[in-house]
Amino acid sequence: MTQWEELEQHLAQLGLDPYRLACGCAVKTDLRRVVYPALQRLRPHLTQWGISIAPREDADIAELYDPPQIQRLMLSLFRGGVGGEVRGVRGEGPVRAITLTSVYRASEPDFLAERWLSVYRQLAEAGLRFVVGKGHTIEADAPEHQFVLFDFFAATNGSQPRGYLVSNNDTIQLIDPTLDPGAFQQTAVALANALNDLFSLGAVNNIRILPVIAAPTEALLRQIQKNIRDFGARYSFTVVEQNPLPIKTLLLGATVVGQTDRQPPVFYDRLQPGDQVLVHRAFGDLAPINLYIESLVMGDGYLESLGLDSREVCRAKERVVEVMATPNLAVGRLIYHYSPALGEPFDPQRHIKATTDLSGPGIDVFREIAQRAGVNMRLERIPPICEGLARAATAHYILPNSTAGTNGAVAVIAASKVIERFAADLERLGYRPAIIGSVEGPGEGILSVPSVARELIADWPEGYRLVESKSQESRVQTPDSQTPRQVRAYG
Amino acid sequence: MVKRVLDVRGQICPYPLALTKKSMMDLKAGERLEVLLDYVPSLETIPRWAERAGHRVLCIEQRAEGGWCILLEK
Repeated sequence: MTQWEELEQHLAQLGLDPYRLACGCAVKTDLRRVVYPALQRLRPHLTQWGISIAPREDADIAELYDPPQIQRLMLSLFRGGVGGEVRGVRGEGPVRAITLTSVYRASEPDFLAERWLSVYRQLAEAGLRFVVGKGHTIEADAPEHQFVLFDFFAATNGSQPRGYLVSNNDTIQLIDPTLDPGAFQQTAVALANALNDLFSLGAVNNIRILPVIAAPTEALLRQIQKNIRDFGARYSFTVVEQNPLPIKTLLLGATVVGQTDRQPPVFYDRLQPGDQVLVHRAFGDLAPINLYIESLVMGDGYLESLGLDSREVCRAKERVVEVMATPNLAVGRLIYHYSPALGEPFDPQRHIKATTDLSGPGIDVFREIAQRAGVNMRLERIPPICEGLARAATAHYILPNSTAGTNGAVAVIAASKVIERFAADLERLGYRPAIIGSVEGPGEGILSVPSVARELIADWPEGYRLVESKSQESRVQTPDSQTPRQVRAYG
Repeated sequence: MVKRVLDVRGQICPYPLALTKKSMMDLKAGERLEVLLDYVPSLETIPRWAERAGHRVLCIEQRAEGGWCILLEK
């Protein structure tokens, strides 16, 4: 029996089918082709019903009311209808909602929009009015596992804003099918991934984790719950226990909430020509995992036939899982310190202008920022965490975008002097940051990328402009390259 | 004409492509593989890979009962 067959057998005993489970952020429904167009279709109906969608950010940013009441509601989408009742979600009235949609084979925007319409119509008929602060949409592994989950945040009477409440949901199925689903790393990656959007906005205080989990067996469920408690204890995060979702599949994630008494770095109108883009580490975490999985499916000798060393790929896979399982809390604290206090004027010589993280969409996040800010941006270099493996994964269509990750690298945009100090602080913390690009100037949101991007992205989007760049020549050729330092270019 | 069928309906990336690659390895030149799938991103990756690997993509069609069929020739 091959290693893959043993794995299939083990997962089957747990009631899981590895062929139906996505690795990390690959579980996300296509944003550009499906989710965003579906939202466009949904928006006019929501407006009519008194429900609105907050402007797109990596996480929901709301004025802080302390302590917010959080109420969870899950509606099933099985068989085209909406199952479940809207009750117990009234109180003072929900003001914001973080949502998770799990939908099976949503390849067309209309398909998704219709399902959302049926759900929101039911909420509107129940008298709920709220702002959707952040939504996350993933592929269900089976039709009976389709649902929409809402975590409603209700205001407390009489409280005063004292900062910002930053919230997010990220939920995955697993990160590495070759690890046991109950392994601590699987849970840690999922939670760190959800928290990353908070940390990239400097929301590092009073972190609360509301687990969103499902498992096919009681034993696995208990193990995942223990992992979550251990993760919370390790980093002093508060775990707010929630009932597991009543479906027999594997889901690992959370709605996470953090607070900041500083202004989050969303100063897109301050971006200027010459501002620099820094990443706190190399990215493209999913390439080694997907290559390794494909090698197990294909059998012995497959990686060697691609000119790769199977032991090196396995080691690279283990390394990226460890990297992804570690929350970027220290980076978040640094971002907090480089953000202006409440009421303090923004100072371009001291403060960060914008941040993001390179998870699901990879470097496409820079095009999103460029479009939001009305500027053009230019990447001079793209440092994958394992460049040889990223190229191989793209060349063989194993990944559509080998710059994508899960709990990905945090990117910071600021004036060059701020970036210089921020990079030095990161190095003191033990990171190996790299400056990878800059803001070119006002524009229509075009992202210029070095020609190496063609070797890292198979699913080539519109709005990219290829530029020649000599600096990528310094890349490391070995598959186990971990050294963004070699492409670092300060000043 | 030998034609094999690979049913990867219900599967998600990277498995439909990986199993297509594996099935094509077992074919002789001129033999065909019919891949049944329902995960849309694979509609792009499988034909792109097949052409790059020197195989012929004979047709891609939507099936009345749902999903798609990609017919490849080695």
